[in-house]
Amino acid sequence: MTAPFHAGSYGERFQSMGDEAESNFERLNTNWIRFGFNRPDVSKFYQISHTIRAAPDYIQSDPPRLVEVMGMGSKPLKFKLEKMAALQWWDCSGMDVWLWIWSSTRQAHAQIRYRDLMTVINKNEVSLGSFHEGKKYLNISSKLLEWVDG
Amino acid sequence: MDEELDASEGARIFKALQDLNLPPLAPLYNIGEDEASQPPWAFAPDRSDTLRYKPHTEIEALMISPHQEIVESVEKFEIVQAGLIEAVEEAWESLTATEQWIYHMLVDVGLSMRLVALAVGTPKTTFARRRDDIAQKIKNELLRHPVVIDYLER
Repeated sequence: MTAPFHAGSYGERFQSMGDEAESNFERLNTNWIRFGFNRPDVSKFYQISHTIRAAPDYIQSDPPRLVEVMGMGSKPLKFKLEKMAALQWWDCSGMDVWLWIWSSTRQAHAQIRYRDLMTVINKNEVSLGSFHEGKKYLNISSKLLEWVDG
Repeated sequence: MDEELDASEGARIFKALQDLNLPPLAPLYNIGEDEASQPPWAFAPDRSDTLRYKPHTEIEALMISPHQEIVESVEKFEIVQAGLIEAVEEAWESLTATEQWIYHMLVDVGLSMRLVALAVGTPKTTFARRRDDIAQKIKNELLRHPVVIDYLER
């Protein structure tokens, strides 16, 4: 039996990061073009502005929107504050940013406009967590999202 | 308790700024460099202005409107805009990095005070005072500029 995604080392997680969620997004959507970076094979990628590094994964023309695809399992979705700030910048770019979330546990997806997610976060008891290196994230329970079977 | 925290002048300033849905004050671009590197909103035309002729210079503005209220010239408009941009830039730069981050999270990103206070590791009441201090600092810094006072009194 394979270990769950979150139990793997960073290297192992990096190899398949987002693959399942993105392949399901591509399967369930039309009219999409790859937009953000997908594990770019360059050195010192961290030197690029975080806002650019965190560009949403896809762009769609009908309806026009930028889409950030995320995956989650049985644990709450970890949404980093720095990613949230970067997506806010993209949301001001003239196109709405949406989050498209694939749950491997539910085998279903949820999608929500970035601004609506902020309302959900502010109106509910969302907790704050911290990664080892000190970066903060919000724990968003899957119960706060509306799921559609994949 | 929360109502008290939300009733301060600082709270009202932050709420008003959030409601304005302004572009972030810390964009990727450096304002003041070449035009191509500037954000689109810096050049967004005011539609109401395109409907009527705007004199180019102050002299022209005086000449086209004898015995009437003087129409603002493009030259004057640009001087005022540049002054306002400079005032906002200076107000932003007067904030520490943490204060800028707090402003960004509360106003641009729109996170609740509870979550930003948690992220900063400060109790909510202490954080509310800090937020109010930031609002006061921004207000004082902006009102140091006569161009801002003139603009508000128009």
